[in-house]
Amino acid sequence: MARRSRRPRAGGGAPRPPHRAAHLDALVAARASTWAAAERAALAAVIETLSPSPRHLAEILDWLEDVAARDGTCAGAVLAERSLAAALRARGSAPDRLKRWKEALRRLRYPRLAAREAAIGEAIRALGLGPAVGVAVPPGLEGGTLSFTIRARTAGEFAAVLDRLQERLASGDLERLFALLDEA
Amino acid sequence: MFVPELIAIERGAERAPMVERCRARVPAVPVMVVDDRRELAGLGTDFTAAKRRLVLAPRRGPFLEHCPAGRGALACCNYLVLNLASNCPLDCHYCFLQEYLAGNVSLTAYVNVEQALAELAQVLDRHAERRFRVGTGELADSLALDPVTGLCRDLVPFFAARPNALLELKTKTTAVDDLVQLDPKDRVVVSWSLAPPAVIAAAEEGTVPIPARLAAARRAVASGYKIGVHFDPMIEHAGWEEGYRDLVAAIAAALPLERVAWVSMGTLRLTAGLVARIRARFPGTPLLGGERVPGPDGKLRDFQPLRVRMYRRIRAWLADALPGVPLYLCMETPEVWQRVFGAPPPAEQALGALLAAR
Repeated sequence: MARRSRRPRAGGGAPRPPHRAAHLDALVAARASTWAAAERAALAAVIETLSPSPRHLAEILDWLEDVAARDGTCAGAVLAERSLAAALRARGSAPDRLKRWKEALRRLRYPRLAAREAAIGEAIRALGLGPAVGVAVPPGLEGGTLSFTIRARTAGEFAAVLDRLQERLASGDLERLFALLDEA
Repeated sequence: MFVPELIAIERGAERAPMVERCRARVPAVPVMVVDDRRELAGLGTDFTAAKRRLVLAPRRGPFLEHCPAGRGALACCNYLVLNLASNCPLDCHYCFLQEYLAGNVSLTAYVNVEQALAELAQVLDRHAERRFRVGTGELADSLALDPVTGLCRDLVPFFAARPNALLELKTKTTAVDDLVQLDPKDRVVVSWSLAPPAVIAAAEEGTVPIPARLAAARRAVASGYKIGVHFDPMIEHAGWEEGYRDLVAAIAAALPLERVAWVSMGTLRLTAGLVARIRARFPGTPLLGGERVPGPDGKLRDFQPLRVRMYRRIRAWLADALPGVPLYLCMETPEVWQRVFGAPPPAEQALGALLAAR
């Protein structure tokens, strides 16, 4: 399925080394051999356009299967989702497009987690703490602990940050942010 | 009731009491004697097929080990595991044995039971001041083989005579015919792993429905056993809230409150290797569609806010239906304990002692 030629492809991705192409072919053969021809063609288009590594492709196949099983559909129907099709058509480098396409697929695979992460990101932005305060969210929300980093060059800058944080605490904004980590 | 297609006996074990008991109980089952159980590898390494052949052989290593659940950053309830069998005739799609026993798939019952009990007795005697909880359900369902092996006829009298140990038999079966003929003297808890019907239908092959499990539990209660309940693995699915709420109600209706020793909760945990095994054995299973992320031990679990919600809901129903029954989380982080119970987990020894005193 995957091409072995070193010629640049219409998709714009760098040509794949032969061993990598063979690895991708083997993965597709192992995982998609029972798919309908149209589904395999859709997958081939993704591989051709986004040039995923074997590790990325394995994850993509896992997620496609999981979504299909969960939603009682087939991998081809998942690949035809509007958000994925749009991400596939987007401009940019192959790695950028792969990243965006996988993010779109992840939102299908982990819809509630992704929505909660987005809500937390939005709540952090809405705090308006400025560049002096970084807020790190734990991967997958596991652990439920936010890490706050304060950057300050002077005691005055530090005090200003503390004032802003105190205001957000008093307004309940921080409480609402932490509530997003508690229960889904 | 489980009846194997074949019994394979390792040479030298033919006269072991358990072997003779097995042969007497299922006389129609063909028997073969092998010089070494490793010869059985020739029968194939298919995990499903292996579940239909019963190997009877002595265990060569130690029988007793500490429960692996408390490793790393997870809270522990100080539990000992007595390994008297390896593999299980049931075939739950999520079972960790699919990965753990991938290199040694034989369904094996260890025949040197007296050696196992001597090893256990040494530990119990050496620490007479401590209370131990010991379970046999780690590498096999505790009772699934019992109709053939009659193992509980060795175990129950041993524990009935031990004031500082409590035996827990964990099962998804109704195999209590031998148990109910024995007097546990309050030293044995029979525990059922319970899940809503939708989970059983989708993922617990070879097990029996909830009403049958609860009927077996009532028989055990009537014979003097205490009952444990494990919501483990808890699996989030469409309608999970109604499923678990109805399950809690069914348990409360079936069992007298004072005979319920404990309830545990634990959401499904999957290693990457187990996911690969499940994917290969059960293509298209909905089991893998959950929103699970790696925890501190690397295992995939439902993302934390979802787990917390599930635990809190079920805890609230349990508090109403089974007030006062100890409830604990299995293989969970102190962080999640704090969110669910409003307090950190008790220290390992304290939690173990609390449960052992039931």
